[in-house]
Amino acid sequence: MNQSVDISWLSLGLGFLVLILPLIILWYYKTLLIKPMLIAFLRMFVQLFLVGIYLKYIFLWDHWWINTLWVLVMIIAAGFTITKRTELNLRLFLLPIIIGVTANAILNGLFIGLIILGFDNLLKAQYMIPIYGMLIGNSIGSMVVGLRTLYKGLAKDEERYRYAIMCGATQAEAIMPFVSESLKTAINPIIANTATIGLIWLPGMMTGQILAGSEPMTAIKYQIMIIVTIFVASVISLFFSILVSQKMAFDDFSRFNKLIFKANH
Amino acid sequence: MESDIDCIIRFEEAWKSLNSKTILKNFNLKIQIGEKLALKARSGSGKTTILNLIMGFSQLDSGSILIKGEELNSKNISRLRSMISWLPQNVDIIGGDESVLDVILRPFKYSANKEKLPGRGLIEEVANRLNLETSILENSFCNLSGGEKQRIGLMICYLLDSPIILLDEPSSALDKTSAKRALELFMTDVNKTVISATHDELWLDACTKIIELYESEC
Repeated sequence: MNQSVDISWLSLGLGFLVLILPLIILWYYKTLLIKPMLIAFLRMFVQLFLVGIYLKYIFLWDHWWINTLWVLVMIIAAGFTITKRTELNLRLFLLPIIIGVTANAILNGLFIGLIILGFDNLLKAQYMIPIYGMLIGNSIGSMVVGLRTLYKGLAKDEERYRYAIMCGATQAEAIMPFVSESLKTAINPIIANTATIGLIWLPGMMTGQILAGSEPMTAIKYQIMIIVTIFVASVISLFFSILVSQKMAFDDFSRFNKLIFKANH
Repeated sequence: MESDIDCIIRFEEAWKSLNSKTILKNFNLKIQIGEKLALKARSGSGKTTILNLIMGFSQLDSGSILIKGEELNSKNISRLRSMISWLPQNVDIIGGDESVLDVILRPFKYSANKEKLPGRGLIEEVANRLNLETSILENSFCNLSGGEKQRIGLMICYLLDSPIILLDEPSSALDKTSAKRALELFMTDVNKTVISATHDELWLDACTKIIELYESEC
């Protein structure tokens, strides 16, 4: 296979000109989206540019402990992002969420290391950084949706929870319908997406690999592995963060703690 | 004569404020086993808060509540709650779109109540006593009227067979016949302590003691 064609900085800059078209449409219809759109694209450019510089050195050094450290940074960053987007109290929920993401990283790491790639390969920057990036990055969405559904649902329908408790349910039994709803809301879209992969959309990783010159069949095998692990990651990380965060959401009297939604400071 | 041995719930020098209203001001009350107590007050005067205090969902600002001589704490809360069954004011929360029978049986699927599982015969008997057709058991709970939902809630309270029964506006959606049937079911058992938050004159007349609550600013 051929190596991929590099994009020159000038071409990339000119590529940004295509944004003019959506910009005009959004401006004409007074959507007030111009400013957030420009900020978002500027942030995306700067963030990816900086990550590019980091990754360049991480790939250059390629020590297992530096790679592991980078994964830890990703886990902590994901913890902050998820807690902020779920509007949960940072002080109470950062740790349970980080534990959820870490449990997923360890379990999926074992799966990929033992069965798919071997630990020697997994610890290489070439595999570890993109694979964990995708695993952690893709579980953020389902964790945000799942945790929000669970705790907003409990806040809204607290009386249902109390009724179950007064009917003899343990705390775990009483929150069962809320956890079920949380898992359904978070995981259903992933199942729906999985069923249409290849038909309606081509996943990013595979497209990226093919653009970079990989054999399509190799790219597809990687993609299948990553889809399976992303699904496992989404369920595992949500499940563990629910399990651990319950301690913060209820007091010793099994009362739901409404302060969990207080401002993130 | 009221003795401490027969006292099942006791408020001692209880103070409680909520949303800048004083609900309990040095409140003392002994509720005897088998007593049928009514809490009477205008809406928003704290009837539901008192029920929440007994269930341990709300906390006193000072003073204490004792259930069977024990103050609620994190160790005994599950055991003491298991002595109480509760009919909430909002009966929509009792079930969803599942069948009425499933709603009635759900509490008996919890590990604590598995041994209390009532047979179909008993469920139908209690339904009849509350002026409900047995065919209602197959209907979807969410399609019931407010009065029917209220009676299903009362059925669950009765079937759970707890010594303390808390009823929040138990007859608000009931016609006179159904309310009388409900009173017969709950007010005749001398072993059950029934605490009802209610405005209903018929219900108030059937209670053995009425506590009137007055709100005051903090």
